[in-house]
This record gives sequence, structure tokens and C-alpha cells, in this order.
Amino acid sequence: MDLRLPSKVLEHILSFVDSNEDRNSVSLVCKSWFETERRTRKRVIVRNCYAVTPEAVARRFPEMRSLTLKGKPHFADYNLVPDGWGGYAWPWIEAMAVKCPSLEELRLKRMVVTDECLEKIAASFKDFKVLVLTSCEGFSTDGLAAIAVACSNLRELELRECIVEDLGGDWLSYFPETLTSLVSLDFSCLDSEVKLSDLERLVSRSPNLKSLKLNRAVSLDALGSLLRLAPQLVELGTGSFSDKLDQEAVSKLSQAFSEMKELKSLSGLWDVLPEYIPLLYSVCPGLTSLNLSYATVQMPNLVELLTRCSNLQKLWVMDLIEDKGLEVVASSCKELRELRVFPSGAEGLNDTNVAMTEQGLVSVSEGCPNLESVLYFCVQFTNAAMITIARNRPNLKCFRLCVMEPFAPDHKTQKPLDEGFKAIVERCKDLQRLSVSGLLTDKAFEYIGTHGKKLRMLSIAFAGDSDLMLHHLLSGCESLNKLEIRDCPFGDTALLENAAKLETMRSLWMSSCCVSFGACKLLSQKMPKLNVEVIDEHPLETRPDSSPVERIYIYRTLAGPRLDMPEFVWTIQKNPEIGVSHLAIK
Amino acid sequence: MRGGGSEFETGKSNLLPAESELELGLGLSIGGGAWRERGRILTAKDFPSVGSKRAADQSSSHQGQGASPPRSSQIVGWPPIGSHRMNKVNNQAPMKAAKEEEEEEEGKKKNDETKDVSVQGLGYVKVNMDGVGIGRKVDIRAHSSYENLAQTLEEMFFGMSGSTTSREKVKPLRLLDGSSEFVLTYEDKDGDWMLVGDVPWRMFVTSVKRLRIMGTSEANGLAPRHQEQKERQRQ
Repeated sequence: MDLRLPSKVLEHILSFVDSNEDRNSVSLVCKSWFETERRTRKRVIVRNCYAVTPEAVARRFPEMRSLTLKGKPHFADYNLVPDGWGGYAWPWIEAMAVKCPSLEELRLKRMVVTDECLEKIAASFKDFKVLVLTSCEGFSTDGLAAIAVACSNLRELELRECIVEDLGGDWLSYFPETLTSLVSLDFSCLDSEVKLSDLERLVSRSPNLKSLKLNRAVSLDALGSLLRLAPQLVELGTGSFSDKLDQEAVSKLSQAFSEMKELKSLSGLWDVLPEYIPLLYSVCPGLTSLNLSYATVQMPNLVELLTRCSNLQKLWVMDLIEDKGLEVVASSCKELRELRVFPSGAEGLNDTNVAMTEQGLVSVSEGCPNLESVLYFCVQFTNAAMITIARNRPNLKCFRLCVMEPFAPDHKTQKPLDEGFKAIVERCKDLQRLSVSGLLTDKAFEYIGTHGKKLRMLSIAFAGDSDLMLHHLLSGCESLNKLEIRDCPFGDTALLENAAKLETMRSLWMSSCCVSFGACKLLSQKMPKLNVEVIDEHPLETRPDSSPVERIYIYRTLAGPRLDMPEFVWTIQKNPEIGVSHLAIK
Repeated sequence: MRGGGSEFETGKSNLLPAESELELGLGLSIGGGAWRERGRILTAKDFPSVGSKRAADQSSSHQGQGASPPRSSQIVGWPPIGSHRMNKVNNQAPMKAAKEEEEEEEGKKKNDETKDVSVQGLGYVKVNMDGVGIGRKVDIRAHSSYENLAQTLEEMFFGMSGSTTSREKVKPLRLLDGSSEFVLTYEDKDGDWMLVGDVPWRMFVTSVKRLRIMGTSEANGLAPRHQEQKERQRQ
């Protein structure tokens, strides 16, 4: 009896399987399932663009319609990856242009995207619909014009925190009058002013527009007319919120806001003047997401805003909110799931009489039962606070604490913050992402290794005492996928002893640690399925094996060594002259 | 003393014998003084106000060769805020200054130079040097003057002039006085390339977009004043 499901039936079943994780499992069942699955997968995500070649991806998933790629390591966000390291989008776009011309969606994160790339996209993918670039760089507004003019079915164009060479606002005027399909437009990271009349016409001929994020150059006055043209917006990023408007303009703007019944997400609000905060009151009760992290709103005004946001699930704000403001959040925003507090660099908040302390986070952990994701920049912290937070919120999934002063101990007891982080990993059994900071000894990492069984991503800076730190992590954290470390005093032993672990992880980044050149070479020799990149601005030929390297980036790959490495990236494949390791193999 | 006496001496003759280099402590013994400062891990000793108990553990040979302990805002990539956010928050500084004059009752009256420059502290601009493949980034707002900035840049690119594969004796760049073969230039908000040093520091801080250390010969077209200086020097 043939027990195999006819592929048509399997295809039909698979059309209901959306999650890529499930599809990956399906593909492992047997060859025919692998075949059916790969021919029907529409959405492909490659979280390390060097883990696999574009050709291999195109070959496996010929029906791909949506491709998501990530390039540089996370620490590139903080200038720790030198320019020119890599992460180029071009080879992918070039390959897809030939092999998957029906591609409709491209989402790129931390990649180098040139104008040539954008022109190629515009020219190659006839039904292109979605372009989302997050933390990308390398292109100018000319490239955007190419996309605007050619993609006649464009639905989403989003530039999130990109570094764009801004040659002016003309690009927006290139959207043809025939383009009416726009659903989402985000140009908040650009500086230049776009022509308001063109923007207004674009908005008014886009009945499906749900998300509009303006840049700072769009004035408050202009905002009014745009809102009147698009009251159906679900997401709004305002421009500058600081022009002096006359009474009539203010009341018109207020009216426009009150007409926005669907608004769920609000951001932008640059330079917001206190007297304009009340304009937002009418939309507050409907908001689930509020991003004030670029808004220099001071405390008393913030309170008025936050008390009205009873449905808020996501809040990004600057430390100008202070402990008092966070108490208001704790009592008013009971649905809160995600909190991010960024440093404003404002006077007074970096001294010891800070107005925002660990207490703010403690309050939120007490008041918000659904809180599961935290990013908190603070001058200093205490173990007691972390223990309380852990006890209040065992449901935390993401806990990123950045104590801004490196090596800062518990400011009340002067002890390391080991016990605090212990409580977090012990109690929060579903914790997937953790960033640690402050004064930490190896003990902290012993705790993390013992308890952090679901931990997938871990970020460490200025911590630990010895190799034990790394050993605890690599041997204990079973689910560890991404580990990034800077300025920690450990090196070779733990790395070499746990080399096999590295094949189970996506990547490991270490900079300004004590990893020796010899260990890197040895690791490369032992582990051919890993790319071991030494990123070091000084030539390595004359270096002794024992000398430390500036940075290493190790990642598993099916693609082998990459072909686009710059001068300052060394691998034993690219630089065979550096020879083999002379370290004793233990 | 390890590594030779002066920071300027590099080259194979200064490489220590293998035995003494196996000590992988924090006093990284790499041949050459220039390397040591760069390759060094920052430890609690660099932050004298905190973590004093760690101080005793660390090797003592590298405590400041004239360098003052870095403030947390001067360490590259710390605090870990995305560069995009840093630049955007940064650009609000002048706005904030104007607002503070209006909001006197909030008690934020003063707006002196030091605060303006150091506290906002989050403005990185790219720096490229001719002949050097790797660009760097420097936090303009963590500096208080042109001299200060030039010093940082000289430390950053120290030893990078000329071939990177040989380690010959290098000279300080002396970027600001027109006496070296390099000059420091910057791109301003309008996209024009200018010589650094012509405008008041505060104005420079708000208008600089990126820096470039270029060869003097290339910089000839930039500013008549510089040209005049060179003419004078030749006489």
C-alpha cells in the first residue's frame, strides 16, 4: 500500500502552514515532503546573509515571493563593525532578478544597499510590492526615486533608521499619478523636505494607506492637511511638532486628530512643544503603540498624555519620563507589554541625583502584568530591584538592562550585580533575550548558564573575570543562538573547549577580548563548517600566535568562506600566508 | 620596561621573545607601543569612580600614557545606542538650547559651552583618511575644541600614514597647523568640503557631517587662506 500522500493533497495542507519553523520541520520528514514544501514556500527568511548563497536559496525556493535578509552583526549598530565589512545586498538582488523575477517583497536589515541595487529592483521585479530597509546604508534618495517611478504596484516603502545620502526631497515627486496602491510609507529617517503638494496628492490618491511616517522636515501645519486627507491611518509618524500655529490652525489640527478613529500607533513628535500635547489627547485611548523616543517631552506633560493611554501595549520613551512618569505608566497602562527607555543625555539625568532610577522599572513591573519585554538604560541599578522585578514578572521574555557606567556595582551595597541577574534568569523561565551590564563576576555567568535554558540571544559588555565566564555560557545555555561580547577578559580555553557548540549557534561576536590569534587559527582548522573571521585593522602576518585579535565574528555557514572580504578581515582561507596555529592542542 | 621606550618605535626588533608574550593578561604585550593602547581592554581601572575592588587584579603597566580615563560617552559604541538614534537626538541639541531659553521656570537656564558639547555627547561622524582603507567614527560632541579633536584623530590614525604592511617610524600628523602632509577637512550640512578650523568650534559642531584627512596636495582647492599660509611658510 502506498502510504504517501499525493503531492497535491500535501500542497493543499501546506497552504495552511504559515510559520517557517513548522515548514522547516515539514521539510525534514522525507524527500517528497521536502520537495513539496520547497516548491510551495512563498516567504523565505535568511537571518545571516553569509550562511547560504543566493543561488542556493533561489534554487530551493523557486516560488519565493518574499525574501527577508539580515547582514551585519548586531553590534554594527554601535559602530563596532568597521565600514566595508560586508553585508552587501547586490549579490542577492542580482541572483533573484534572474532566478525569481516574480519576487514581490524584500526586507533587508543591516545591509549595504546601493542605488544600483534599488535600480535593479525597480527594473527586474515586475510585480514588486514591498521594500522595507532597516538600518541599511549605502544608497541615496536617487535610488528611492528609481523605486518610486517604476514600481507601479508598490504597497510598502519603509526606511527604518537607515543612513541615506540625502540629495533632496525630489524623490517623492517621482511616484506616478497612476500609483494608487500605497499602504505604507515611512521616510522618517530622511532629512530633506519633500514637496508638500506632491505628498498631499500621493496621500489623497491612496485609499488603502494605513501607515504614514513623515520626516522631521514636515511641519505641523502640513501635518494638519495630511491628516484630513487620511483619517483612516492606523499608524502615524509625525514630523516636527513645534511650529507656532495660530488658534485656528490649532483647532483644525485638533479636529483632524479627533477624526482619526483607527489610529493605533503614534511616533515622531520631534521637538514637541508642551502646549501641543493636548492635541493628541483624542487619539490616546485608542493607541496600542507610542514612540516618544525622539520627543523631548518633559515630565508633567508626559503624565497627561500617558494617563489617557489605557490600551497601550508598547511604549518607547526617553529617560525624561523619570521614575514618577513610570509610576503613571504602571497605574494607567495596564496592557503594557513592551517598554523601552532610552537615555536622553539630558542634564541632571546623568548625575547621581538622577530623577530616573531602578525604581521606575520596578514600578512598571509591579503595575503591568503583561510586561514581557524591557530595554532600560539607567545610570545605575541594584540587585534588590532586579530581584523584585523578577519576582513580579516571571513572564519576562526579553530583559535588556544597560547600566551606562561600565563596571558600576549595586549602588546601594557596592556589590556586583550577580545576584540580580541570577534572579532574572532563575525566575523568568521563558527568557529568550538578555543583555547584562554593570559590575559582574564569573558567578553571574554561572547562574546564567545554569538557569538560562531558553536563552537565545545574549549581549555582554565589560564583565566577568576569566574564561570561566564564557565556558558557563557555552556549556550551559542550551538554546543559545546569538552571543555577542565586548571588552571582557577571557579568551581561548573556553572557546576551544566549546567549539562544537558554535555549530549549533547562528553567530558569535567578540571584540576587545583576549582571544588569541592562534586560537582563531586553530578554531578555523578544527571547524570547517564555521566561518571564523578575524576583523583586525593591523596586519596579522607578523603577529605571534599569542597576541590578541581586535574582533572575531564566527558564524555557521553552508556557503563556505565569503568572497567579498575587505583587507581588514582575515580568514585562513583568504589569508593562507598567516599559517597554521602553533598553539598546543589540548 | 616592555615594548621599548617610546610609542614611536615599532618594527620587528622590538618584538619580545616568545616566552614573555604568552602571558595573556590585560597588559597585552604586543610589539610596539601604538598597538598596546589600541589593543587594550578597558578595565575598571579606567573608570576610577567605580569598581575599585577590581583595580588590584589588573596589571599596572598601562595606566595612561598621558591618556585620561575615557568617560562612558567616549568609548566607541557605548552606551549601546544605535548610531541613527544618536545622530537624531544629537540634532536636537540646538533646538533644545532655544527651548531652554523659553522655559525658564523649569530651572534649566544655563547653557554653557561644556554642557552643550559634552553632555549631549552622542554625535558620531565618520572619518576617513586617504590611503587608509578603514573608516573610523569619532564623537564630535565629546570634544571641546579643535585641538582636542585633532589629538583624538591623530591617536586614531597614528601610524596609519603610508603602507599598512610595514611598521616604519611614524611621525605625529599635526593636522591643524598645516605643517604635515595631511590636512583635516570636513563636509558640512550643505555638502561642501571645508578646511577644519575656519569657523568657531560650536558652529563647526552643528554643521559637520563627516571628516576626511586628505593629502595636502589634494586640499589645494579648498581654502585660499591655507594656500596663503603655505606660501608664507615657503618664504
